[in-house]
Amino acid sequence: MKFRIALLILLLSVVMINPMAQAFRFSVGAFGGLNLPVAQEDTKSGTVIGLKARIPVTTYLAVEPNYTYLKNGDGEVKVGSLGDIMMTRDGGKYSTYGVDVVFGGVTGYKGLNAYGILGVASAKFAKKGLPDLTKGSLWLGVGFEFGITDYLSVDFRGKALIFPYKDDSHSNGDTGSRKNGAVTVGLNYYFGVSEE
Amino acid sequence: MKKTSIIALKIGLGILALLMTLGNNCITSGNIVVVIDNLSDLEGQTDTTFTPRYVDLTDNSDWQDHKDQLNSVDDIGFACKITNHESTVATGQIWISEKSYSSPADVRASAVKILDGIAIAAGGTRSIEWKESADFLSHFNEAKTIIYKEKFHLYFMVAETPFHIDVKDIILFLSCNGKP
Repeated sequence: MKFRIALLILLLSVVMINPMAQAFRFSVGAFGGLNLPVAQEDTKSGTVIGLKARIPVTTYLAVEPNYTYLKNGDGEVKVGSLGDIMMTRDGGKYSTYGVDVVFGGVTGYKGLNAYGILGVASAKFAKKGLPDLTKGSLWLGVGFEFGITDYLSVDFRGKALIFPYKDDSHSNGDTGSRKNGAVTVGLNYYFGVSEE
Repeated sequence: MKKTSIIALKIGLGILALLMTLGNNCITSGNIVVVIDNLSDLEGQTDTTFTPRYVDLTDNSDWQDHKDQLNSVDDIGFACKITNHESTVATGQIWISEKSYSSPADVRASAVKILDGIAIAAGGTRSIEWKESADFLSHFNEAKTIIYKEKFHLYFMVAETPFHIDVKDIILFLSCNGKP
């Protein structure tokens, strides 16, 4: 019974998309690229992948729920006392769920648009052998989007993740952070009204 | 457009306020790796030869350079080469404590076990590198509170009794968050 109700709601939603599309437009997309840890000797550069949706609020402002996965490369240290051999350590990985506010050219129509990005996220940092850390984090960045058509676009983004944390067991310690840069290329598909 | 700009400005100011709340230290901090590689080789034998290794972080120049702006110890790792002289498989362990103990029983009763489960074949030698030591890491949160005290003992033991081991090429790695 529950399944039938859910199916009915889904079918009604699909039917209603057409008239709503006259005034509403949104996108879904995927992205991937390079993850660059900032000032972290215990990690190296790695990869980043993610998913996002964009829901324009006005012509110049949109919100983007997103999921991002960042994998750090293994950290490397040269050990002088053992004849300068290199030893490595797992660099860790982040899973973040959040919402970005995007401002600037956010409509995604055909042509080039630029925008700024400010976001908050719940981020989990996991590193082999250590307890996971889950913290509220910030995303800052800029992006450029090229609309190939009114429905399909490619974007290029540079974003910075700030992952703050404080170790309460260290009485003299302050709040520190890990920071990662993410340079990504993404592909987006828009649903809804066309400019033409 | 004007309304949108005002909204964007408010969001920007909100984020700026949030960053200021986190503090300057949060923005400028980074991670460094402190390597303690001056620990001499040791022999460990049940009740007869039991020598811990004493670590004084204030002797380490990297630690000294960063200790005043240290936010946290984020990771602890080891490298070493353990030889098992017994005719049975040994399970290698590393324990940590501020206090000095004279017997394995005292260590087991009062110290914090930081590495456990390093299987060493009978009469065999096993090398553990920094990355691999994470497979055996335990009680990280308790261990780092001892490391913050800067002076502590490391005990190299075996879960089974009796035991007889040599430990060589001992390195301690600490990943620390602070001013890079």
